Amino acid sequence: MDPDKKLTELMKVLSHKIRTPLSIIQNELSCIKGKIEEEEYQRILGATRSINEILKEKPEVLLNLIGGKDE
Amino acid sequence: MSSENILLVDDDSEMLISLARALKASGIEAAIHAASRHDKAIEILLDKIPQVAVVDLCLDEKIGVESGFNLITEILSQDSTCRIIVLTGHGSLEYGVRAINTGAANFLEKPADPLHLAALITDGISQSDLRRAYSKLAIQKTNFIQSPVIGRSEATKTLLRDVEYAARNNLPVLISGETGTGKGLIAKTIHLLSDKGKKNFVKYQANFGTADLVNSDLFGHQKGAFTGANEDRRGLLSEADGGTFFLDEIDELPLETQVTLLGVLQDKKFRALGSNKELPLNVRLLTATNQDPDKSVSEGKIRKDFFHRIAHIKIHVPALRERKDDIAPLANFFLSKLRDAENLSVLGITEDALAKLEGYDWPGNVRELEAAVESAAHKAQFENRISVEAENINIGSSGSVNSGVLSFHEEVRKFKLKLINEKLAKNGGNQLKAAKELGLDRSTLRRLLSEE
Repeated sequence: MDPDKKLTELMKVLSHKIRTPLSIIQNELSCIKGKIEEEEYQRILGATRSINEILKEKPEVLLNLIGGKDE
Repeated sequence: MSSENILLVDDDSEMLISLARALKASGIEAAIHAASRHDKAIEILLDKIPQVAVVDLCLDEKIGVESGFNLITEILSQDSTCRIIVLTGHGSLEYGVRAINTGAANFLEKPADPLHLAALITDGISQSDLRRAYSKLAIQKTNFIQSPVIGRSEATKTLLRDVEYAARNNLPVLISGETGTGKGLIAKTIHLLSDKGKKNFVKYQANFGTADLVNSDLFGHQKGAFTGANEDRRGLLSEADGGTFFLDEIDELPLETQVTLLGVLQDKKFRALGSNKELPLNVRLLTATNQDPDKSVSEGKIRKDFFHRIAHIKIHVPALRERKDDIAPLANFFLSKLRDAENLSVLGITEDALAKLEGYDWPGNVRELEAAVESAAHKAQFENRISVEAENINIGSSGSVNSGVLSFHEEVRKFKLKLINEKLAKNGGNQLKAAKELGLDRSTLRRLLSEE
């Protein structure tokens, strides 16, 4: 398989794999809302959302970030 | 206990725990049941009848997303009122479209905001409840409320639930029960309440027929297919196209026909005798037997493979002696039906008379009770009520019905059937010939047989 294709597939798999633990973090976070400072809650929620946004990027775009693919 | 149930399916047990906690924290009050495998999910589905199922697409690494799609299909084939929300890490337009086409109501990508998911679940519960209420209302409002589902006993409540369930699904149903319990009416009720209710309901009873004749009845034949086939004939499966085909007395179906029909059910296509043209099979199959189906299989009257194909849903219609609480409502139902049909002035049945009816075992089941009420009502037509004192119930001191005294209508019905059965036997089960000899058309003969 073409190395670029291989890396793209790897990114896809990783993206799928990360989504479930990320869900767990968000679920657990929703359970402790109100028990921690609102600012603290928003900071963690913001971080999970950032990860989610990254996962929504196309694998090719992510590869470009690490210089894995030539322009 | 909550009557609202949710099923969560995900191969990750930590995910199931956290999702259940998050949904509770988001205000979901329904009972939450979790499954990490397909078989466990189906077990919960059948036991708890959840209104909503939240399903992950990848339940088995080896099969991939197909495992989730297979589960969605099975859930909906078991209970079409269950709302499905797909929650997956495999979010793509392709999978989303496919999930909706498979019957899912929503498609969400992980991680989903628990509040958003909770809102969809709440909406899903309402939608599912509405569909279920509609189905119940349809049973109550329909003119086809029939004797087998009338009553207050636990057995009848279970039967009603089974009928509703069968009506919501499109799977083959095998109805068992003693003679006179109303299996045919149960089949008709399932048909009328199903999404095929406006299409044809075709009933067929295979007794008296050889395999060739039965095959010809079912699949039709072309002119010249066998001696006596003077013209093309459409089969009953074609007549039932788009609707329901009810095969009564299934253990009487010739074994050769069972083999042929098994192939037809598997391939979903058939050919008329003598024809090369394949026709699509588009009917829902309901079957019935007055024997113990398992015994019929062990005795070789029903092939095992055929049995498994026709008995996806099994409904047992209990004997009247097993639901004596239903005798009074049934007797009153028959009396009211008769009063409307024949303008009788009999208003009711005395407590003593009802007690007498309840004290009898009714070997002929609901049909025998109907005949007894009919006979009593005619005898009591110049009185207000059917009573024991007036001796208008034909139950002797020994507690057995005086079977020699039948109503006029019952006598006529039995005579008609005897005549038809004699002609059928004489003509080797050929309904066309029997009808011709009796001066009837074939459809009238079939209708008379179906009233049996």
